[in-house]
Amino acid sequence: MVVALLNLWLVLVVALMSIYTLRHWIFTFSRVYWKQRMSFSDAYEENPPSITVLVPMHNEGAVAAACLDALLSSEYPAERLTIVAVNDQSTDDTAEILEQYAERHPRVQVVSIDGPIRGKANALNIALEQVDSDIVLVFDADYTPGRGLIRTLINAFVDPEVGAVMGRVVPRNTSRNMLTRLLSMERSGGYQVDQQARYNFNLLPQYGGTVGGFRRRLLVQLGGFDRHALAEDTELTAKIFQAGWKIVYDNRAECYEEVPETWESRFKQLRRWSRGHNRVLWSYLWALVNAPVLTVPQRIDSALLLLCYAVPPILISGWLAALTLFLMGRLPYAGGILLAFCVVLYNAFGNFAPVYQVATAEVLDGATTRLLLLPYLFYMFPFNSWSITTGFIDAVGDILKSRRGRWDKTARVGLAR
Amino acid sequence: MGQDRPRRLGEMTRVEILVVALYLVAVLLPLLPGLLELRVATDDDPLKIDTSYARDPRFLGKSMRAKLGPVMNEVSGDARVPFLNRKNEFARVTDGFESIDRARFDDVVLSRGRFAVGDHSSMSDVYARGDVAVGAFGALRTLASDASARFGSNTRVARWIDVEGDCTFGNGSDLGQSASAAGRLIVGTGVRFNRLFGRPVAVVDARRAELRALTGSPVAVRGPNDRRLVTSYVIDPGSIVDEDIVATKDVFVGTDATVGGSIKAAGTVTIAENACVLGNVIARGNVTLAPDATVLGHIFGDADVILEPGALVGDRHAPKTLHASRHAQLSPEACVYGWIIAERGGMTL
Repeated sequence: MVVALLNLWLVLVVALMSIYTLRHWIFTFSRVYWKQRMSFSDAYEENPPSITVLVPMHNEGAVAAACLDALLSSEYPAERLTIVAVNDQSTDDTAEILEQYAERHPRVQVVSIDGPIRGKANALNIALEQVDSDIVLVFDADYTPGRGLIRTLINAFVDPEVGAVMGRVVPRNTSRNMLTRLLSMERSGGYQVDQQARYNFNLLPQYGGTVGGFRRRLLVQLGGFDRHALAEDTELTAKIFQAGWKIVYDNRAECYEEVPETWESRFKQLRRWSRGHNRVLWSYLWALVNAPVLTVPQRIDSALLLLCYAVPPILISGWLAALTLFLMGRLPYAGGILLAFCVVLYNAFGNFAPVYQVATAEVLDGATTRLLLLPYLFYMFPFNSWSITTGFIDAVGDILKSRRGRWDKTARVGLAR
Repeated sequence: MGQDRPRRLGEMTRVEILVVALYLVAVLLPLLPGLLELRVATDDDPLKIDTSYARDPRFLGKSMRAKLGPVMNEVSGDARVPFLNRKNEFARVTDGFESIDRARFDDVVLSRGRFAVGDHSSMSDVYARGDVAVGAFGALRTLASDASARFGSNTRVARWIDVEGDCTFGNGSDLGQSASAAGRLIVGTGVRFNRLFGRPVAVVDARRAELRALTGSPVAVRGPNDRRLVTSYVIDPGSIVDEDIVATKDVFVGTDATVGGSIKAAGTVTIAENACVLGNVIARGNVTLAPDATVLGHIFGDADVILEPGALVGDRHAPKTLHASRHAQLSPEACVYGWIIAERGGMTL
């Protein structure tokens, strides 16, 4: 019985990994060879709508000024742009910096949060109560948007089906160390290929929580953000598609961000993302897979999108199952040329599928010398797998014990200053 | 013959050691080029984002003025000077220029006043602070004028032109990558283009459509409940629909009908004679505006966009974008306030 279950689990894991491999390949080829879907970046608008930019901040003293300066330098008509900086229980000099900006610039408003709950979702909900405009953009404090970025992002809302928009994130502190260089490559693959391909195929491009925005009235109708959510962006993505709206990914709406510079910080970030994302998986997988407003490819993609932070623990469980069966002498299909062929095939095309995706992104970006670092991505895989798995375990604990996650802030360096 | 001594852990034959060594080399070798790159760091800058850039249909012209204006100011009278320190490239600075037919300029021309050449003239780059007149069959690479410009028939623009005032192109011209004017951009028939910008861009004589543009109204931002989700949709002639329409197939707006919101269709969108859409039109298929049809918002067509005689896009006070992922086709008397982008080329009939 145990052997049969382990065998069954192993087959399911292999099937799942094969599906993701195929997905990576289709996305990569589509980005290079197939027609790219129309973007709304070129919408020319002399009378753009009034909008609000929300910048949630918790201990962002190192980066707050650079972010606000960048937003104030936007070419978006000043009388139609309100910047709301949300001070979420900061204990550093963030509050003083924000007050200084609010005094000097009437367009900058400060919302201070003192309540018992801390976290981005809660901060956004409270700030949204004070927003009048229908279109709301969100930037994290370590982002420095260019002059034309806001206009590029809001252009997506010319489409009446669009509920949210997402731009591209580009690491600014790439040159700091090996980790930042590798993270820069990961980001390229994730946005330049993965997000764009999902948009091309009319699947589920993800609202990433920053360098993006949404229709306020839609969010209100959807009940706002879950105040305790650690992945409020993924949750909003699920809600928007479930309600029959679309998300536009605009690859030309690029913005610099800071990526973690220490492995510890990156571990915490991935763990938090995994914990939050897997909570959303638990809450929305069934609803999305059965959502009548979604097409069949969209339903499949919704499952694959929500499962992506569950894949490493599933894969690790597959390895453990295979090892157990091997030690028991009950590994199925042991030996044989077909197995050897499949293993070699998967090693060549399966394990490396995400790496090919990153390589394609770098070629599209014209950054080809950094491709020399590609093999290091493969060796980064165990690190990512373990940090995501710990987040998955946290999420399972959250669900079983009905407890709420705690927001672990990513450490900032403040390069843009 | 004694029994073989059992091997202790770590005892390996030379062949085994060689195999392990080769394996380790195979595993570690791919890391070597990356290790060198990590040490030397030749490609560790962040990907370039031009944070000062803001999308502007007239960006090229404004950029040229900013670059060449100072060159013109540094020299007085007529002169030939090295151009921006480039080797073997010169700029001809003049107070103004009038020429007969078949003028030829290999240098960059910077004119403080009027610049006029006759038929069959050819130029590279021209920046004139005065009016520009180019005769028929002219050829040029780029041109910026701070006043108005008039180009004869069959003009060939290799890259772009940008004019601060009004601009006219004769029949059969090829407008290169971009032609933009802060004022009116009037183009003749049989003109090929990729990007046009003007207030308005009009084909030949579009007074009829321009008169309608006076009466445009602002487009309202709609709430989540103001959408009608349909498959195919036909709006009856003369009726009024005050919602956004999202269709999984085609949409047909009947004669004299009015749509208060935007239209999004997975198929084609056809707007019949005298019908009006106050919002935007977005379609995966062709978008066709019949004679005297009006769209006050943007048009984004993932295939062709066709404007029949008297069709109007945009508003005098609110220029918009007409974007065709394939071709744009403009009939005589059609009129667009704003930016026309035809990714695979456009044509006036």
